Amino acid sequence: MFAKRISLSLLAIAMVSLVVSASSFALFSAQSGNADNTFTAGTVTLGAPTTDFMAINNIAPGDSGARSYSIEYTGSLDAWIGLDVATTGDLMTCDGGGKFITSLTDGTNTYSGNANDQVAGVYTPGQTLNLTLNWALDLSAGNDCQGDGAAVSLMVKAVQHRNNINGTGTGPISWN
Amino acid sequence: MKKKLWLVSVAALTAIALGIGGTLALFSDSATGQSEFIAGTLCIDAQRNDGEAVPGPMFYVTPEQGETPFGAPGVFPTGLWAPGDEHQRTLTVSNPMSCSSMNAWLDSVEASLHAGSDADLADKLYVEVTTPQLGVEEKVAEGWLSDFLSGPVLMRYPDGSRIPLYLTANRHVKFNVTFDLTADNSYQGKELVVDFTVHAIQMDNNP
Repeated sequence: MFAKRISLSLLAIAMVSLVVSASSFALFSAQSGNADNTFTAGTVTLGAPTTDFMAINNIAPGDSGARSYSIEYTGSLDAWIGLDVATTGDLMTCDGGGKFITSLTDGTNTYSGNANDQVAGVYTPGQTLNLTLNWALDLSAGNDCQGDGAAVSLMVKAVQHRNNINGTGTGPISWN
Repeated sequence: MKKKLWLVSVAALTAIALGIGGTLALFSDSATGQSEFIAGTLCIDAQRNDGEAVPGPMFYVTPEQGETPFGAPGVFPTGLWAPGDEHQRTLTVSNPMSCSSMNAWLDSVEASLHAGSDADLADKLYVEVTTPQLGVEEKVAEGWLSDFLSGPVLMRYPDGSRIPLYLTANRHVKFNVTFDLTADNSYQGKELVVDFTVHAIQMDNNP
């Protein structure tokens, strides 16, 4: 009975304390603000196709050719456009190597037919990259190259330009 | 006989008392003091203040989004945000005598999200709030925008002291927002719209 009375007393004290505490925070206050702040992230996207593949067979020493490729930059932020190009196959190594040559050009710059992270430049929304892949089998290619083939794969990539410029200003800090 | 004498004495004393009473009732006056108690008021106002027309939002992507209700376009659009972007805008908070009657503390700031917004973008937008203390710009609140959306974030100087907003005065509060560089492709094209709200509280009796 005594314990119950103590409990009730403590409860009452606690409730009073709560009331007092609540009233302590009943200060005058006001608020004002700034509405409709909009944050929209831009985009970095490429049109299709972002990859191209060309198989080269049945060619003879002295043959050459070209293949065109176009891709539109469809993002909303300015972006670095990069090229990953790989040429593979026995034609690359036959007869001591160096007989089958590939290169890429956009009309102004020339790119290797076998290298990654090649910078094609900074593209603005809606700009199109036009590439021409040139290939040739040198006349000096010997019989070692007979029956050999090659394949060229091209991947175009894009990454934001802003806040992503290397120390020399010639490319991105990172491609991803 | 004694009883008669006692009654006469009482009557005489009563008459004297009445006489005195009557005398005191001649030159008297009274005044009523009226005490009036009126509670004060606290109100604050906030407007963007980077040199463009008001009212309007601090942060907007296009000039159209930043225009005033009267059609004046925003002058400082952020453009679309890319990871790593950082923009600072100023909000001037005032304590005008037109509706306020007391000094105040700037207490906290919070944000509220508009319907249809991509709320997860708030996880990658870092907000730093600064205001001058003795002429030096000091950070008084910071966190991801999502923290500000969760509830009021306290505004305090680095030394823990509170930020005064005296009656009739105003204070520049700068909001610096950074789009975190770790934002990956999943954040591309996302958009959110928020309202910022600054809370003030009375200074008197509230140290």
